[in-house]
Amino acid sequence: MNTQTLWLAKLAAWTHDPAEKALVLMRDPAGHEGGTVRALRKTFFPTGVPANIKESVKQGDHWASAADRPQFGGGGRESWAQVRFDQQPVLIHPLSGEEFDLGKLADIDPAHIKALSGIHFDELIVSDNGIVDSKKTALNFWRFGPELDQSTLPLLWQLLPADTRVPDHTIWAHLDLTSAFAAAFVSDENSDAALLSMSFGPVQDFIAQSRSTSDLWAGSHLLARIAWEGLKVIAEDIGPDAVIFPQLRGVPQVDLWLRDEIGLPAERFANAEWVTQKTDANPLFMAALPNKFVAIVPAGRAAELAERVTAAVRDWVKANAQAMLDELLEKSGVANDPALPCHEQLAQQLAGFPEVHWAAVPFALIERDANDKAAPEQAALADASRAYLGNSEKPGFLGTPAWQLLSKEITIDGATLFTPNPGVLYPAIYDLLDRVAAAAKAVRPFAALASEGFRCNLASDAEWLTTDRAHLALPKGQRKDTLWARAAEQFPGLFKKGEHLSAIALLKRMWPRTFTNELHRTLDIDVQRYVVSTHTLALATSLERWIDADGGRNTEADLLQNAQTPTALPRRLMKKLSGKSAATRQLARCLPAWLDDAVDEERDHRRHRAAGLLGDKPEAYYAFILMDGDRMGAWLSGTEADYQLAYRDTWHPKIRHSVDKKFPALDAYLDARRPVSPARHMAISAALNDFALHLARHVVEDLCKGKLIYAGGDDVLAMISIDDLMRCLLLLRLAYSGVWPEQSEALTDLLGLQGERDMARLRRGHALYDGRLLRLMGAKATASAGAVVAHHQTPLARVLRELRATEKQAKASGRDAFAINLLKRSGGAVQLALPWLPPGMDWPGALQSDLTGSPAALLMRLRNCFAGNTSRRAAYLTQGWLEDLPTAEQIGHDALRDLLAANLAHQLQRQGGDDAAAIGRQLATLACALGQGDKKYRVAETIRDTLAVAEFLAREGRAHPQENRT
Amino acid sequence: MTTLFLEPLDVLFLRGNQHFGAAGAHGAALMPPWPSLAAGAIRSRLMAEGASLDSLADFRLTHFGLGRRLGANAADSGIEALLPLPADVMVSRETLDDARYAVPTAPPMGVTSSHALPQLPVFCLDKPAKPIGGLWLNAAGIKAWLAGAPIAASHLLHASQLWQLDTRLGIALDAQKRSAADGKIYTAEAVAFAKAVGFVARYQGAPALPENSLIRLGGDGRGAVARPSVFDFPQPDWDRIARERRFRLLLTTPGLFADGWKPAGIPATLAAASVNRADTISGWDMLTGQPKPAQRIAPVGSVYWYGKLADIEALKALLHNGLEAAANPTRHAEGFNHCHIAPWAEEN
Repeated sequence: MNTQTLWLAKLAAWTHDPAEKALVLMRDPAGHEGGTVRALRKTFFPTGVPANIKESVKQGDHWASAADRPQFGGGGRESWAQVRFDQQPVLIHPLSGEEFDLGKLADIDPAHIKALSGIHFDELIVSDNGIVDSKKTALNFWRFGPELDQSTLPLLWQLLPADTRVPDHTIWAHLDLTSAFAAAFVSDENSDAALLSMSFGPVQDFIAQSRSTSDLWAGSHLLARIAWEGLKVIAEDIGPDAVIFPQLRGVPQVDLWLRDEIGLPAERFANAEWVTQKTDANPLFMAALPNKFVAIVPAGRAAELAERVTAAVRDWVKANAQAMLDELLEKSGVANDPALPCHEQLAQQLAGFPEVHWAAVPFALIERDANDKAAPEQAALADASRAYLGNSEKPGFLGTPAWQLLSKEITIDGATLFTPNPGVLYPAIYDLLDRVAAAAKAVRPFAALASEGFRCNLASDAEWLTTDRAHLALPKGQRKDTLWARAAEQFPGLFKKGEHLSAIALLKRMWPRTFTNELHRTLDIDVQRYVVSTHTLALATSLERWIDADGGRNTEADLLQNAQTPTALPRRLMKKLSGKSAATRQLARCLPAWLDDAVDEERDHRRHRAAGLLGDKPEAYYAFILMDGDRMGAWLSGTEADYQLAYRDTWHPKIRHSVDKKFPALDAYLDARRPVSPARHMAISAALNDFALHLARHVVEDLCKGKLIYAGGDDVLAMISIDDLMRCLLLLRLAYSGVWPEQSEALTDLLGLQGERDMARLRRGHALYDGRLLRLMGAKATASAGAVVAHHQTPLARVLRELRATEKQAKASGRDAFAINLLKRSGGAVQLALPWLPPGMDWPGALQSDLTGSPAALLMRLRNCFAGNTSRRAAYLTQGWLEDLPTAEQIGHDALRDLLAANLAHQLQRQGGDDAAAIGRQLATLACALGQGDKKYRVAETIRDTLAVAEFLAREGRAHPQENRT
Repeated sequence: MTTLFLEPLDVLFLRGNQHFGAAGAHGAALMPPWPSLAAGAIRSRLMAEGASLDSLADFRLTHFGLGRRLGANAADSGIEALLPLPADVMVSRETLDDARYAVPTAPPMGVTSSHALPQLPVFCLDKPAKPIGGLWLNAAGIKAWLAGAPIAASHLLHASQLWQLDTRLGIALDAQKRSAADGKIYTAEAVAFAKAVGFVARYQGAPALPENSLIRLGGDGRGAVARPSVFDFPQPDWDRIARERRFRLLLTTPGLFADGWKPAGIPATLAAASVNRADTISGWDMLTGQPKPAQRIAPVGSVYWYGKLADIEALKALLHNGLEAAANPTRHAEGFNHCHIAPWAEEN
């Protein structure tokens, strides 16, 4: 098979159904296959589609349809089973099951939309001397097919359903999947496909080895880049649509590859943010790919592709590290002799890095007949699965009600509605893959390696790179002429004096420089400093107050003269500064470094000066946030009812009602939980991509003074200024699900968002942001977050360790919760964990109101009280009597609640008035409800810790000036 | 052979291979610590008692791990050894009642993977589940594991029942002024043991310590009392192993092997393994005033499944002598490379 055939198969797959199918079905006299796709096929296959490609696409289409909408494989031609989308356009959120009735689309003329579609795809054809370049065209179709900029309906175009009767997945997901299957079939000698899962590591240990936020960013970004270098092998060989998870369409790093390495027309990308944005806000600075992927590959090539991916990522790492070492030697004035020990050290230390684990399961395990009909028994698949999924006759998916229904043909009124083909068994193949991949990780092979002497400052298990092994025995203070002593002189901003690094630490430390050089070359972006330091982030609270208070007019000329070293500021602060004077901008950017650079005797003086300028003591605390989607394993495996939809819920209401009336015998089928499908995996991945690439950054960097370190998959790691902590936490949680309360005014006030004109609009599992409609995880999906508030001088390693523990605490509190850990400089710590919603309330119910009664909002209101007229003494005084109160076991829950409410209200009223008293009652009610529902929550501790956190966040200058008082 | 129960009198600072030098650093604790901690402490105490370096030439630590005193009184000599949950056992429910063994399984026809061995250790679960971390086996659990019998909830302990971490704050001193250095605060994790929890150490080749000897353990030289104690691990079912010609090998102390993750010199064929990512051991060599080499080790709790056993007597010798004893006599004497042997577990 030549590669040309593979790309032609993709083009045939992309033209088997028109993108506008839903809008022209039953309206176009030529039929949906007689319009734009016929013309395109004539262009690509003037003498007709070759038989092998035709057969692969047909099979791919059938498998894809069966996998994503098994109820309507080949039947459903009766009038009750048809939906005219222009008359009854309904879309269903694939993860939450929410229905969206679009009213009427009859004003969209089928001829017009056909013409638009025809022009759109014609423009995507890439030719060379009049000959269609099938690879470039297929990639252009994949990338830009869903982006119809000429239409008045660009948002609907992205979400057009593949099947109007089951409108929970898009035509784009169907075309992607058909293309992936077709390419696998046509390029495998047995016409078989396999699912391939690969993962790269280590993750946590690698990222945690950090001495600065720059190291932290570099570790995260490098891992995401390594994942892309692996994915690139798959994308180049069999196309990016082969990758089910993560979805690659629209990922900036992938776009860069399409433009610069594949050679897609550059003008297509001209308006992309990664091209136009010339600052560190460029999305290429984001670590946005997870460390794992799943792809559909030709079965016979699965192992070869996995080995090539493994070699590619390791070669990429080694080549980059080697180039960094060569530069280090050159700049340090050391002759680059291959016999230098550092070269051997580098090779040894990077051998086997990164760790790569993979597993592949072929669809050939599925028994089928000559007509591609899947056998009901599936003995081979059952045999293969038993060791992993349970020693029953029908393990895993084979034993579910879904398969019991789908393993047989379904006929209605004598017509075959559905015939099972191997695509229906996607859940069984995926489940087996997941288990084999987990077992394959049981051994993390490593070679013996002894590291002599004193070791790397970042990676304590490795020797630092040296030009003379005798140097390794030199203790700190005696290393006068080492490679690193010279390097520190040559690269003063990069290596600290005395720092000695290993190969992996070198890679991490020099990655920001390598990456920015790369961007300079490819995109003419010149960014020198872009990772915000912990000190700058702490100071951001004071700086914003200074800018807001007097417009930064007080700039003190002598201070300006002395503060000359700029630092990276949070993006939101930079935006605020854009309208200010040059002096204000310079002072804001240089103040952090001016304070940092002070030697001992000057330190107090400079702090005093800064306090005078800023009007208050410069803020010293900042926060880290780690948020993680809950139960992602269950979402992906689809094995738990809570995360599944019933078949009924995924059908168009017209079909649902018709079937209810006409075929009551199908009730069991309709109520059966729908198993996991490729489109569902794609929807999850696309939702996480949209959250990570757009919304997480928007929340952290546009709406708050923060820096996103990592956002990929369902994880977010971000630094945030202390005054924005609560706002950021709550916004991230709402953005993850794409939800916002129906009565939004009070929450908007509380979060101080009144003036945010460009803020994303969140609603019912979607977000409208920057002209794009993003489909997010929906209200059924939850997330938990941990936040650590720390002094900027607290060792980063400790903060990260505490952060992971705090995020676990949120998960352990029943999930869909947040936890805050205050690490006080004096050594004390306060830990608070609360659910996002009060006990007994679910998200759909909570969103009907205004959310200001939620625990996070209550905490914010309490903080605002303390920042306002309520004396913070109330928190301390309450602690004094709280422990002496009786328990619920002694007096009963109701009596305890009343007692606490009365006492807290009294305490807060004395210190703050009626508004504070009301918040006190609400806090008592919340704490008692939590204590009554879950033993993990203790009433007195919840009140004590909530007050303590609110009081700490309310200290001088920390409550956000724009946020509503109560 | 002398068996000691080392009961801490205070919190301990047990550091691993992480840096803790510069002011402002965070000292993370390592639990359980390397056996060299006990080897060094016991030898130092013996020397304080008058033993010469030469007389300790044959000293060898043959077991080191966590333990728990059985009696209510400190003087009670009965103890139970505890082991981290072996890598071939998985527990996922909070109730701890769903422990199951991994079963070595050849991949199904057509299924391929990156696994380094012919069989994969597979946990058979009807639904995907996350393992609960930080679990330990008590004596009854160790006995069940050694017999390949089911592990019950009563066999398991949470690490939090055995110790807690307690972060301590310190302030660096200015060497010139002998006063607190400005802004140089550091933190270190201290390990606070639960009542009656300590370490079990067994050694040979050196005299017994006097009863109730005080020894210094870990950073800051915090104290522990060493009491002679009595315990024994049950012997594996050698007949069954000989009959089945297969066995499991569990690392009870870190494994330092010439082949990295794989022990050499085992008279059988390696069929499957469950070995987590490498840890690193290091230390300070008092004699040379230099750091000891940092070496990659297979972590405690790693499990190897062997088949085609060729020589059961050689296997018995390994259990007694430790693995790859000759390759690194210093680390061997410090108690590394010890293991348990057990038959393959019964099917779940």
